[in-house]
Order: sequence, then structure tokens, then C-alpha cells
Amino acid sequence: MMKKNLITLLVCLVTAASVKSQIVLKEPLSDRQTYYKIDARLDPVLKTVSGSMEAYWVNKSSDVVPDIRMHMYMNAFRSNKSTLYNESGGSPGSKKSDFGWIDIKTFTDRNGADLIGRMQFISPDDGNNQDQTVLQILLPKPALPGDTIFLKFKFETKLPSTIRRTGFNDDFFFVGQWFPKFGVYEPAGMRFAAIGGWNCHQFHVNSEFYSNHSVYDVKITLPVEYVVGSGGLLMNEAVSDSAGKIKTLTYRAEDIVDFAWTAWPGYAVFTDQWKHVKLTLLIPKERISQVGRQFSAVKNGLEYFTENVGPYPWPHLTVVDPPLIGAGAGGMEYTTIFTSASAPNIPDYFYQPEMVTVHEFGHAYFMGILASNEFEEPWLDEGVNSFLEERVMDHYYGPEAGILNHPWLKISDKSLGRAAYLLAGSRNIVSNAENSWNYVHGTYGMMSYQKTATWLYTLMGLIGEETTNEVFREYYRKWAFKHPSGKDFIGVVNEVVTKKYGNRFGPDMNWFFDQFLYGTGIVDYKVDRFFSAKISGFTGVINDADSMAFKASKYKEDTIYKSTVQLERPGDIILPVDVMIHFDNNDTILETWDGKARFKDFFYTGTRKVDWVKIDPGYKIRMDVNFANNSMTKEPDGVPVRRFIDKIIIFMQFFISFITL
Amino acid sequence: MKIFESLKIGAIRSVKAWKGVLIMYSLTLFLIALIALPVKTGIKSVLGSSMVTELLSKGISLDVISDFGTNLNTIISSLSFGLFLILLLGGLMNVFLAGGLFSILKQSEKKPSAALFFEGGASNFLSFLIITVVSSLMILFIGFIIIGVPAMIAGSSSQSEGAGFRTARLFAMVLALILPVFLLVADYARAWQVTRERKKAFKALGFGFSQTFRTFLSSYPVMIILFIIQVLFGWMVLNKLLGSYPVTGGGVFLMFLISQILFFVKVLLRGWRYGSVTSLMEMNPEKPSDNSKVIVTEKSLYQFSARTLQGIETSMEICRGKVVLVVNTASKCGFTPQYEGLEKLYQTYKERGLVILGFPCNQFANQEPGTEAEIAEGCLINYGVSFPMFSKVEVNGNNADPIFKYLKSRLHGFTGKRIKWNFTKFLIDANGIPVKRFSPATKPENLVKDIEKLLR
Ligand SMILES: [Zn+2]
Repeated sequence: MMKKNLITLLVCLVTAASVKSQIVLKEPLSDRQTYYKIDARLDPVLKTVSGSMEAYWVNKSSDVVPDIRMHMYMNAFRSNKSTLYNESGGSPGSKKSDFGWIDIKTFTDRNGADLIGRMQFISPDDGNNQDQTVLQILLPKPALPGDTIFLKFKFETKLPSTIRRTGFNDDFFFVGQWFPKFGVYEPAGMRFAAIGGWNCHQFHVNSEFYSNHSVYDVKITLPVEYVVGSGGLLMNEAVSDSAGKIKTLTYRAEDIVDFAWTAWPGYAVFTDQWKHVKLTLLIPKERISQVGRQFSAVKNGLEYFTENVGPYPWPHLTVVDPPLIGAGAGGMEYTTIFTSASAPNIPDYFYQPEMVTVHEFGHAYFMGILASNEFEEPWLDEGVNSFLEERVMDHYYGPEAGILNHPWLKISDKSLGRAAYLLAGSRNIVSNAENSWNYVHGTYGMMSYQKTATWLYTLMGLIGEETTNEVFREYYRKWAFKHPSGKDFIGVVNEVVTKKYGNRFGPDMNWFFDQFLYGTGIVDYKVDRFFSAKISGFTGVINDADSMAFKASKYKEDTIYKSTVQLERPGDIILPVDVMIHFDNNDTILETWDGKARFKDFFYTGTRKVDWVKIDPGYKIRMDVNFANNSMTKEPDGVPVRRFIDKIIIFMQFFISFITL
Repeated sequence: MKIFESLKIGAIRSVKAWKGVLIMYSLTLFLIALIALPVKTGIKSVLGSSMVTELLSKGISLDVISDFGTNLNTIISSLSFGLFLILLLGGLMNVFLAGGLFSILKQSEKKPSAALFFEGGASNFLSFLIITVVSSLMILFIGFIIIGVPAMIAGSSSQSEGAGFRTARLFAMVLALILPVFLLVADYARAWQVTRERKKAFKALGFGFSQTFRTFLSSYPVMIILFIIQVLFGWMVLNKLLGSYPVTGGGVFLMFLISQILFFVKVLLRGWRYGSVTSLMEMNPEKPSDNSKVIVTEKSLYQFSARTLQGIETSMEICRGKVVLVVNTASKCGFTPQYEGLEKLYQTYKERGLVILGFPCNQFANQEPGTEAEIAEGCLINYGVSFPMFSKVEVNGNNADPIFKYLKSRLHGFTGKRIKWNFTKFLIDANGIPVKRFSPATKPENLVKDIEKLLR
């Protein structure tokens, strides 16, 4: 093992352009437009990560590009006037040590020509001149098509004390968004770009990712007592001072969109294997009892995503369960490393740690492999991923118990998502296709995560589970290690659905996305009432099936009924819905209503009377804001409500008896 | 064995008091139903004749709850207010019911009856309320000290996360062992209270404490046995019932029926506890004590007698028709110079009918250690005392001189009956009736006004 590492290291050293070599993966998965080589040192006292970086960007467009734009995320913690803090309304802290920033000490091109004078901070999103999270470098000579722009930095990153994805608390460090990172150059025609240009957004409170897939060679130097986890594959570990107190770790990562790492002396390290993937878990020693559940959650994720989306290509994956002092770093995704969010002594029946683990793992696909733009289309990142997370949770942890599985109360993950959407007061004030920072009135989370997941369930309800899986497999095949946009996803849906169903849902599924993604309406279908009235005397035109029965029957005229079923559509959104009508002779008729009109009446004539009516009997239209009015029966089943109330009474009796002396 | 005997008697009495248990059960159910049934109506009106209840076959479904939409907040807050109200009313009602139950559980010639139950509940209500509130506060406070404080210390000082939680769990077990002590105190206090005509909650609590610790070796085992049985029973029943999901109307009815029988048993168990503690109390009768048992019947000072410093038994009859000042004295006290003032007072008013009676007492900081002769000599030489001095007495406790018991029972000091220090003064009018008590710090010259008033 060690020997192999040495050899690969040697290869690293010998090959000047080590990016061309394959160390982690058999072959490049992306076009590797950017590359980073970082040599960094953590100062646990000053809370700084300082070092040097060599990076390049290749102009793969046919444009002449005059500048480079880079994310300087850490400057969001420089003051309370940064865009991130303007949006969150808080402040990084009160002491100088609370704040965070990134300072560029030296900056040259490949020939050593100084570039510092050519740098400036810009604010493309909001014009906030206090925000220094986007750096523009006006190149001495514009980059011609095919040019490679080499940049050399010396930088110092001061970590903030409030851990917001990144930062420190005492001796805990989570180091993310910590080095100058290229934006994405989008030539005309890519995603929504009409003309070529940089897509490099400021650091916002609700979003972080849009990057090219890269190779990273990263050296981290820090005191030996720190346990480190990173998104790379550990190539070498060596003590690097004579006193034996400092070590240097060498990592290599390929085709990931960001490189993050964590360091804390308190971690216990566990490893496990899932097929080709070596799993590493960093967890506080006190939570050793939860190691098993974390590993099984990750494996469930790997299995489900591999089967229903596509393969996980990397041979390594690091799961971090941060300690309570680093809870602010919990629930964060960096493709090959992610953080769960847990606590000691979480009961077995509460799947919160599993849920976060599955979710953050899922981002290896939605954002990591399928590198969409989270700033501009958070639904494509968080929403699609939440949909998969809810499916994994309910698949592995019980269909009605994916988040809570207690004998007294069970909650499914998908129901939790739907509840968050349904119970939000501002659920229809903004569409689902906004920039992350444009979700007003605190709607970002509900819209990007839960509403999206709920309408994806609704889509699955229409086209079926297997077709839905095929959509994601095709999305993966077409767009893995590229930068899909929402319209690319919709394109895949249209292609797969029409291939499977032809014209059944229309020429394409755009009508669906127009309403759910771009619209703000709600879905509500309702049974208004039904009734059966005796027909006396002569009957008029009777529909065929029933008139046969009429003629054949020996019943008197007054035993013939005309049944009327009245349906309504109070919601704005139009969907085809199934309607099930049950009669007192046990006949059941399944009707389809295109759902377009505001109301729809069905009529039946015969000796039978209607017993009950259900719209969407399978509860597949999960966007329907009221399931209760979807059905109506002559004999409602009062048993569940009685049982519920009886249990409340029992509980209260014993509770009062318990708390009184 | 007192332990098993009392458990046996408690069980028998609890069963015999089934009427009271039934009342307690019924009223609790009634109160809860009062709040639960409107909730049922509310839910039914939302669900109407919908079939969405099919989603509830395995219990509460969030999908159905979500149908309440943005009204859910209102529903939840009114529901939690209802629960709060139930707890408050339930707590108050339980105070009443406990009064009834304790009343019919005590040894008595009367058969336990509903009338006796309600009468007991009503007459003991206030006192039981105080006992319950004080005991509950003590339990909460002790709980905080035992669980909260160690957990906070462990949580804040330890590097290891979750230490606070683990410590709390550990100390919760300690609390579970201490809790029966407080239950004993509360139960003894209440068992004692129902045997008394006058309702004095704090005295009852005091009795509860002293009885608990006096009979600890028999009381504690009884209570811990009852405590464990009650907790285990409650937990098992709740776990089984709340985890069951009958789907038919008959099944739900059966579940409810079983639950009600079991809850009735739970109330019986409580009666068992109350009854066992009551019978334990009866097995260990309290010792007669100064405060509660001695009833002073004497009508005036003249019925008493005392021995003079010279050893002569003297009836207080000699004071008839005179204004009397009784003082407990000491020779080595900071107030000893008051002898001078007292003598001056005596000289000034003895012609008009004032008598001062000095009673040396060594109960305060050993300030009167000498013999009768030494005391007599000291008084005469140093202060020229000429008013009658009596031999040494005790003024507090069981062996207190009857004169002082009498005076104290008639005249309370600022902070109670007890005499706090040397030179407490009691002023008695010419009919032998005590009229005023003065604290040790009151100088003799300040008594002039009151004395003059009586002499007129
Ligand atoms: Zn996410």
C-alpha cells in the first residue's frame, strides 16, 4: 500500500503536468478545464490556512477572453456588510478573531509577472461594493481559444469563528471555500448564455456551488495530533519537522468540483468498503454507537443511486459526523467528502442522522457529477436531491416511517417534505425557477427543497416509478461531468416520457414544468358531491351499457336511479386525474378526467347507486394541497379518528396520574 | 413485619374504598373527555365524509395532517392550550380527589362512602393544595439540583460531548431513588392531616418529614415497592396501548375498554399507596410533643404555683389583684443590666400594686449556670434586686415550667411562641390574665406606659 503510494508520488513529481496522469480514476471523467495544486499550512492558534497555489484554466471556448473571474468565498466573513451577511441579517462576530477573510499575498502569471495590480473585486449580482467575494483579473494578454492561463498565488485564509459551512470552533476546523477558485466560463449556447462570459456569482447565504470539474493536488501541513479528512485520496503522510510535531498530508482528487477538508484531534476514524468504494467515517469518539447507522445510510445511498441514477465513479468517500462544537459545518456536501448532522444518543427510531447523510451523499450526483448551477437553479441541485433523499429514506427505512419509526408515531420523509410545502404560508408567492437569493419572505428552503421534491413525486405519480428512474439514468448518461441546466433536465424528461408513452401526456411534458417549475399555482381537485335519484316513468336517452341492463332487468321503473357525481377544480394547476367511482353493487368504474375545466359531472343510470368517489385514488398527485376533499363516501370510517382520540384520552389519564402526587 | 403488613392493609383498604377509587377515575375521565371530545368533533368536521382516513390505518399520517394547511398552527396552539388546561385542572382536581381518598382510607368506624369521600376532599382541599404544591416544588427543586446541576457541570466542563446527557441519565436514577422519600413526606403529611380537625398544611408537612425519617427503615421499602410497581405498570400499559392499531370499530372499543379497566387499576394502585402509608402511620404513632398535644386549660395565672429561690413552694394566688410582670432572667447576659431597670420599676410602682416575678433560666447560651445561692447573691449584690426571685426553670420544650407554657400559649412573640432569649417579659393584669409580651430587647423603662394603664 505504502509502496504504491510512493510510486504514485514519484509519478507526480516526475510528470510536470501531473493533471494528465491518472491516479484516482482509470480515465478522466470530465474535460478538466481547471486544475489546482495547493500547498497549505494550518495554524491552529491564528486559525489561518496559508500557502501557495498554482492553478490553471483552459479556454475551451472559441472566444477571446479578456479576464479571469474567481470566487473569494472567504471574504464573505470579512464584515457584516458582505452580501452573505446582508442576506442573513447577522454578523460574523464581535471580535477580530471571529471574522474570516482571504488575502492574496503574491500573484503572478507563469512567467512571474505580477498580477496584483490587475485585480479588482466586482459584484455582478447585487452591486454591493462592500462584497469582496468575486475577484476579476484583467489579463495582460487576452486568452485565445485553446490558451491555458497559469496563475500562481500566495494566499492567507483566516477562518471565521461562526461556522457557516466553513470555519473553526476551538480546535475544530472545517475548511471549505477556502482558496481562490475559478468561476465557470460559459460560451454562447451553454446553459442560458446568449453570449460568452464568466458565470461567477458572489457568495450568497443560500448557495455555494457552480464549478468546473477539476483535478486537485493538495498538501496540508498541520500539527500531528490533528485527525484529517478530505475530499481527496491520501497519497502520502509524513512527519515534516525534526521534533516530530508537524505532519504533511498529500491528497489527490480527480473530477470533483470543490476540495474541502476537516481537522480535529477528537475524531475517531472508521473504514468500511462498498464494492469499489472505500468509505471513511470521521466521528466523535462519544458517538461510536452510531458508526453502524452512518455506514449503512451511506451504503443505502450508494446502492440506490447506483441503481436508479448511475455509478459512483470514485474509489473513495469520506463521511464526517462533526462534533457538537462544529455543528455549523453539519449537513454540507463536497462530492467526495460530506458532513452529516447528528448528536450523541440519537434514538434508533429517529433517522435524522441517516437522512442528512443520504441527502449530502446525494449531492455527489446532483451538483457533483451533474454539476448544475446552484446559484441560479437551486431546485436542480437541492430539490432533485431532496426527491432522491426522500425516496431512499422511505425505501430503506419504511414507506411510512422514513424519518421517524416509533410505535406511537411514524413519519415518512416524503410526507415531511410535503408538509413543509403545504404548511408554508408563502407557498405560492414565488416560482421555483429563481436565483437562490431571489426567494423572498424566507421561501428559499421550502421552495428549493420541499416543493421541488413534492412536484417531482407528482411527476413520478403520472409517469410511473420506473420511467422516473429511466429519466434520471438518462440525465446521468447525457450530462454526467457536464453542466446541465433546468431545460436540459426537462429535455431528458420529454425524451424519456415520449419514448415510453408517446403522445399520452401531449407532445411533451413542458405543460407540467410550465405550471410547477415556472408557475406559482396550486393543485386542488375536489369531490363536491354525488347523489342518486330515482327515475320515474319514461327514461330518455340512456347510455349503452346501462340501457342493456335496463331492458334486461325485471325491476320496476322506480328502482332505476340516475347518479350524478360532481367534481371541481379549485386549484389553478391542470393535471389529468383518475376518478374512481364505487357503486352499492360493488361495481367500480375508473374514469379519467383531463382536469382542464373548473368542474366535471359524471352521470350513471341503472339499478345501482353510488357509494363513494375518489379523485386520484393512489394519492399520486402529492402536490394536491388537500387530500381530504379528494374523496367522498356515504359511510365515512370514523374508526381512525376515534382511535386517535381514545389514545389521547388514555395518554392524558396516565399522564395526569403520573405527574400528580 | 411492618412492611408487608402495611402493604396488605393498604391493599385491602384500597379495595374496600373502591367507591372513592371509582369517583377519582370517573371525574378524571370526565375532565379529559370535556376537552378531548370537542377536538374529535373538530377533526371530524374537517375530514367530513372524506375517505382520506384510509391513510390513518397505521396511525397518524403527516399527509393527512398537512391537509389542515396553514390552519394547522391555530389547531396546534388551541390543542396545546387545551392540554395545558387539562393539566392545570387535572392537578387541582387530583388535590381534591386525594383528600377524599385519604379520608376514606384512614382507620375509622365509619364505612368508606361517597359522602365521606367528598366531605374529605372538600375539607382538606386547601391544606392538600399547599402540601401538594410545596412537595411538588421540592421535588422539582431537588430534581434540578440532582439532575440539572451535575449535567450542566459535566456538560460544560467536559471535553467529551454528550457527557451532560449521560450524567443526567445517571443522576435521574439517583433521583428515582430519592423521589419515594418525597412521596412519603407528602403522603404522611396528608394521612396525618385527614385525622386532624384543624387544617394546618405546614404542620402536616413537618409531621410528614419527621415521620418519614423516624420510621425510614419500614417506610422507605414500602414506598419504593409501590413506586416501582406503579411506574412499571403505567409504562407497560401506555406502551402496549399506544402502540396498538385496531382497525375495526369493535377493536377500538375493546382497546378503550381495556385501557379504562387498566386505568381503574392504576387508581387502585394509588389507593394502595395512600392506604399503605396511612396504615404505616397508624402502626408508628407519633410521640406526644410540646406543640401539638399539651392543651392549656388553666384560666388565669393564679392557678399555678412556683418554688422561690429559697425553695418555698408558693401559689400565684399571692398575686391576686396585682399587676404582675413575669421575666425569665440570667446573670451573664448582655441584657442582665435590665435587673437595675426592673428593680427601679418595682420600687416606683410596688405601692400601687405591681409585682415582678423573676425566673432564672439556663436555656439560652448557658448564661445562668450558677446555683440558687449564687444567683440570689449576684442579684442582691450587683443590682440590689428586691422583687421575688424563683428557682431555675426551663421556659421552652417539654419540660418547660407550666407558668411559661401557659404564658406562651396566651401570648405569641413576633416569630412564634418560643421564648427567644433571656429577659422576655410577660405583663399580667390584676385579674391574672396575660395581656402583653415584650421582647428581651425592650428596656424596663419602656414598659411604664403599659403598666400605668393596668394600674389605673
Ligand atoms: Zn442539499
